[in-house]
Amino acid sequence: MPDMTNISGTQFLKQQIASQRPLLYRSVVFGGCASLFMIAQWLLVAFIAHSVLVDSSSLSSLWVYWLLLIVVSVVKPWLNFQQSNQAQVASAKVKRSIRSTLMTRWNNTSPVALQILSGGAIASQWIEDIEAIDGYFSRYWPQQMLAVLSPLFIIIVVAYLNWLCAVLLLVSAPLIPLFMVLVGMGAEHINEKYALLRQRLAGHFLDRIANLSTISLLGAQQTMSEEVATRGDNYRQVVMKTLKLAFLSSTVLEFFTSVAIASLAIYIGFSLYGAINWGPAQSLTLYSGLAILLLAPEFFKPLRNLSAYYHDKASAVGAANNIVASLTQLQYEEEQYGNGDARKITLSERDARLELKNLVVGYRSHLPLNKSVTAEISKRGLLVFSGDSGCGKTTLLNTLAGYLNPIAGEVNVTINSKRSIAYLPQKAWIKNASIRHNLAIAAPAANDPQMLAALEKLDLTNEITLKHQGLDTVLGEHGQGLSGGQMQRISLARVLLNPSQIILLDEPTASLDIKSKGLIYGAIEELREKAIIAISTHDPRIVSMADIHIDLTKKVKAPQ
Amino acid sequence: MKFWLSIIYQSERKRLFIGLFWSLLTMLSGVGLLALSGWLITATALAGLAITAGLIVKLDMYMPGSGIRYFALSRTIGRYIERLYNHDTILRLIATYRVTIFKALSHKPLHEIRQTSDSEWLSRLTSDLDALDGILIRYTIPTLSTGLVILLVSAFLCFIWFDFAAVFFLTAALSWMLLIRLSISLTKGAAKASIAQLNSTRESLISHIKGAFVLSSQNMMDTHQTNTLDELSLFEYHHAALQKRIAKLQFITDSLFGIAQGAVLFSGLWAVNNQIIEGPTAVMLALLFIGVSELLQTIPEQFSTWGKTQYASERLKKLAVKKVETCSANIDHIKTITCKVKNLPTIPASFERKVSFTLADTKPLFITGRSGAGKSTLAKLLFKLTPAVSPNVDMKINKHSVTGISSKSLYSVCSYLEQSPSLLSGSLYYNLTLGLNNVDEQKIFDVLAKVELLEWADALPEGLNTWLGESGGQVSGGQARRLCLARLLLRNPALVVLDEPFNGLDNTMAKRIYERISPWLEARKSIILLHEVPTFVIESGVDYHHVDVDLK
Repeated sequence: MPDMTNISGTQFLKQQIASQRPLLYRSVVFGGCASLFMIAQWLLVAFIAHSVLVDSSSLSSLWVYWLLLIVVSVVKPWLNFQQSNQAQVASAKVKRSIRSTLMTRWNNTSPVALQILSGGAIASQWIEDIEAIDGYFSRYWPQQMLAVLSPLFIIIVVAYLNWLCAVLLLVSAPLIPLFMVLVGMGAEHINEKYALLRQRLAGHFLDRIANLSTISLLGAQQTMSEEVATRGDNYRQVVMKTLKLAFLSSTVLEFFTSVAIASLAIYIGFSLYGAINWGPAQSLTLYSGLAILLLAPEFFKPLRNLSAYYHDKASAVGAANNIVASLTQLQYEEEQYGNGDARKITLSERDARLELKNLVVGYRSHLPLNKSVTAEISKRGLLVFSGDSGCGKTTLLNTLAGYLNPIAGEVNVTINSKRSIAYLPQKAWIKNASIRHNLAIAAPAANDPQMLAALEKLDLTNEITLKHQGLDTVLGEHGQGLSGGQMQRISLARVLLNPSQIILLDEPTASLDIKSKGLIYGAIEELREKAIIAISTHDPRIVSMADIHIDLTKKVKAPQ
Repeated sequence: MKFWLSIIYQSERKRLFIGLFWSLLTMLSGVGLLALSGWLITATALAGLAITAGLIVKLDMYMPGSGIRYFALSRTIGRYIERLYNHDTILRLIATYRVTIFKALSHKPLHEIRQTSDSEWLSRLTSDLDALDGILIRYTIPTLSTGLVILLVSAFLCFIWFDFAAVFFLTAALSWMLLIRLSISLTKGAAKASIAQLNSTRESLISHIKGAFVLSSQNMMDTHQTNTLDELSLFEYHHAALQKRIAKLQFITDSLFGIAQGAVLFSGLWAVNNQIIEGPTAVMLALLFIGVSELLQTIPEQFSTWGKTQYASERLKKLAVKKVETCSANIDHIKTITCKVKNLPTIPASFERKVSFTLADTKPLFITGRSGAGKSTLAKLLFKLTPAVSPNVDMKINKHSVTGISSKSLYSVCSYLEQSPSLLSGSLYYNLTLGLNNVDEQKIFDVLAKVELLEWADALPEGLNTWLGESGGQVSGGQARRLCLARLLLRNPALVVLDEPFNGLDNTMAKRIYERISPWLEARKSIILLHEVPTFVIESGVDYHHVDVDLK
C-alpha cells in the first residue's frame, strides 16, 4: 500500500484507481461500444424513415434493417449494463481494500494513539466516508472518459454525413472543457459551502435532541422548537442564494444542448426545403438530416451525465480528505508516542517475569511524568503503583502493555505467548452483546458453569439473575442496567476465567461502591497467587496488599 | 412514507403544484423540441423533393421554426426554475420535518427519550432526514409530471390518429405504473437489508475499536476483527445484490423501450403507406415516443432508493408521532412528597424492605447508598425519567400520583440536577438562562460566584458570550457539573433534587459550595443524593432527614 498520509484527497483517489485500472477500462470500453451501438440505432431509424418516406420502399423489404434495429436496441442496453457492472465491481474492490487497509492500520496502532479518534469518528470514516467514495469509481471516473469518447464518435459520424453540421457541433466542442470547469466550479462551490452549513445545522439539531431531557426539565421546549425552525429557515435562505448561481452552470449546458438541437433542426429544415444552397446543404437528405438531429442531443448527453455525477466526485474527494487527514493525524500521534513496541519480550515456557529498568514514562518526551522506576517481579505477585492523579500511574501501565514507548529505561518481559498480558482499563469495556459473549472474548474455552462460577465469585450471579436473564442478558450500549462496579467486575471475571501470566489493572476500584470494592480485592487476592499483577491505584487497601509498592508522586526533571 | 407525504401535502401544497408545473413544462418542452424538429425535417425534405419534382408545395417554415426556438428556450428556463424552486421546497420541507420531529419528541414522556437519546439512532438522524428529500424530488415531482406528460401527449395524439393515441396511452400509462411498482418491489428488500447490515457493521466496528485497550495487550485485535469483517462481507453482498438488481431492471427496461421505439416507427410508417397519416407525422410520432420513453426510462433509477427512504421514514415516523400526555393533574405548589417502593429490580434494597420517605418540610433530605443501590432511580421516578411500575412504586406529590401529573407542571415546580452534566452548544449565558426570560447579568455573576466559577467566567475570552458545548469544549467535567448547579440556582422551584452534586469536587470545595447554597436550599424542599451524608453536614449540626437505600 502506498503512503496515504500528507496527500490530498484527489491524490488518494488516484492511488486507488491504479489498482483497479483494468476493470475501470473495461467499463469504459463497454461504455464506448454502447455509444457506437447508440449511433447505429439512430442511423438505422433515420435510414428506415428515409427509405420508406423518400424512396417509397415497402416496409417488408427492409426486414434486415428492422431486425438489426431490434438487435441493436437490445445489445446497447446490455453494454451499458456491463459498463455499470464492471465499474461497480471495481468500486467494491476499492472500498474493500481501503477498509482492510484502515482496519489493519487501526489494529496495529497503539490504543493510546487510537484514543484521539473517537469510536464514532472511526466508524463514520469506515462506513460513510468509504461509501461516499463509491460514486467516484462506479459512475464518475468511467463517465469522465466517456464524456470525451462518445462525443468524438458522434462528431466523426456527423462529419461524414454533413461537415457543416459537424462544424456547428465542433464550435461548441471547445466550449466543452469550459463547461466542465464551469460545472465543476459550480458544484464544488455548492458542495463546500453546503457541507459546512449543513454540518452546523445538523450539529445544532442533534445537540438539541440529545439534550432534550435537559431542555424539558428546564421547561424550554417551546423556545427550542422555535429555535430549530429559525435555524432551518436561515439555512434555507443562505443555501438558496448560493444555488441561484450554482445552478446557472448546468443551465448553460442545458441551453447549449437546446440551442444546438434547435439550430441544427432549422438549418437542416431550410436546406432540405431548398432555402439554403451553399455549402454541403445540397447533399443533405432525410436520412442524414434525421440522423444528425437524433445524434445532436446524444453529443451533449455524456457531458450532462458527467455534471450530474459531479456530486459523486465532490463527495468522494471530501471523504478522501477526511480519511487522509485522520491517517496523517494518527501517524503524527504515533510518532509522538513511539512507533511500535519498545518492550523487550522473550517468549519462553519458563516462569513469567516483568522487569522495569530505570523506567521513565510520559506522553511527550520532554515531559517525563515520574522519576525512574526499577522493579522486578517473576512468576507471581502484586506490584502496585500509587500516587496523586497525573503522576503517571496509567501512563506506566500503558508503557508496560506496550502502548507507549518509555522516555528512558526499559521494560523486559518474559511470557509464554504474545497473548499472555491482560489489560483492564479503568473504564470497563463491555460489548453490546450477551454476558456470555462478553466473557468468551478473553476466555473462548470457558463453559457456562465456569462462567457462572466466576460471576458467583464476584457476586454477580445474584445481581444478574435477579434482574435479568443470566448469561443471556444482553448488555446495552453503555452497559445498560449495570453499575460501574458491576461492569468492572464482569471484565475482571474475564480474567478470572482465563488468567494471563501478567495482568495489568488500571484503578480497578476507583469510584466504586464498598461492596464492589470488596469483591475486587478478593479477586486480586486470588489472581496474585497465579500471575503477576500490576495495579495502578490510589486505594490504600490495595497498596497495603502489595508485594512491591512504588509511589510515583515525586516528579523529576527531564533526563539530560 | 405516507406520513411524510401527507406533511408535504398539508404544508407545501401550493409549492408542490407550482413545482410540478415547472417540471411538466420542462419535460414537455424537451419532448416537443425533438418531435417538432423531426416533423420539420421530414416535412421540408418531402416538400423539397416535391418542389424539385416540379410540384407547387406550400410549407410554412416559420411557425414550426419559432416553435422549435420556443421549446429550446422554455426547456432551458423551465429547467433552471424547476431546480431552484423545488430545491427551495425541499429545504422548507426538511425544515418542517425537523420541527415536526422535535415537537413530537419534546412531547414524549421523558423516559422514552431517555431510552433513545444515547443510542445510535441519534448518529443516523441526519442521514435519515436527508433520505427523506427523495420523497419529493424523486418519487413525487418527476413521477407525477411524467404521468402528466403521458396524459397530455396522448390527448394531443387523439387529434392526429385516435387509434395510435389509445394504444400509446395504454402502453405508456401501463409501463409507467408497472415500472414504478417493479422498481420498488425489486429493490426495496435488498436496499433495506443493505442499510440494516451497514448499521450492524458500524456497531461491530465501534465495539471493536473501543476494545483496543483490552485486546491489543493480548494481541487479539486481529482475531477479534473477524466479527466485524464478517458483518462487512454481508453488507457487501447485500449492496452488490441491490446494484445488480437495479442494473438488470435498467437493462430490461431499456431494451424493451428500444424495441418499442422500433415498433412505433414501424406502425407510423405503416400508417403512412395506408394513408392514415402523413410522412412527417410518422417521424414526429416516433420522436415523441422516444422523448416520452426517455422520461420513463429514468424511473428504475429514481425509485431504486425507495427502500432506503422507506427505512429512514419508518424510523423517523416512530419519533415523529405525537403522543398526547394523558395525565391531567396540574400542580403549582408542593405540600408533601411521599414515596414507597417495594420489589423494584433497580433498587435492590426494595426486595429486603419497603424503601420509603415522606417530605413535608424544608429540611434537606439525604438519600444515601452505594453506586448501583438505586438512588438515581428514585429521583428518576419522581421526574418521570423512568416509567413507574405499579404497584411496586407509589410516588406522590400532594396526593397526586406522579405519573398522573402533567410533565409541564411537574417540571415547572421541581428541578433536578442530574448526575451527568449536560450543556448545550451555545453561549455560557444561553446555557445558564435556558428556559428563562430576561435574566439580569448580576444575578448570573452571583450564582457563578456561589459555585466558584466567577473567576473562570471572567477569564473567558468573551465572558458570558463564550461558546460552550461540543465545539466549545473548554469546560471540564467538574466545571460542567457546577454550571448545571448554577443554572438551577437561577430558578425558583418548590422542590430541588441534586444527584451527586459534589462528585469530583474535593471535600473543602464541596463544603464551601454547600454552605453558600444552603439558604437557597432551605427556601424550598430539597432532596440530595449522595454515597453518604457528608461529614461537614453532620458537623454543622443542622437538622436533616436521611434515608439509606443500601442493602442491609
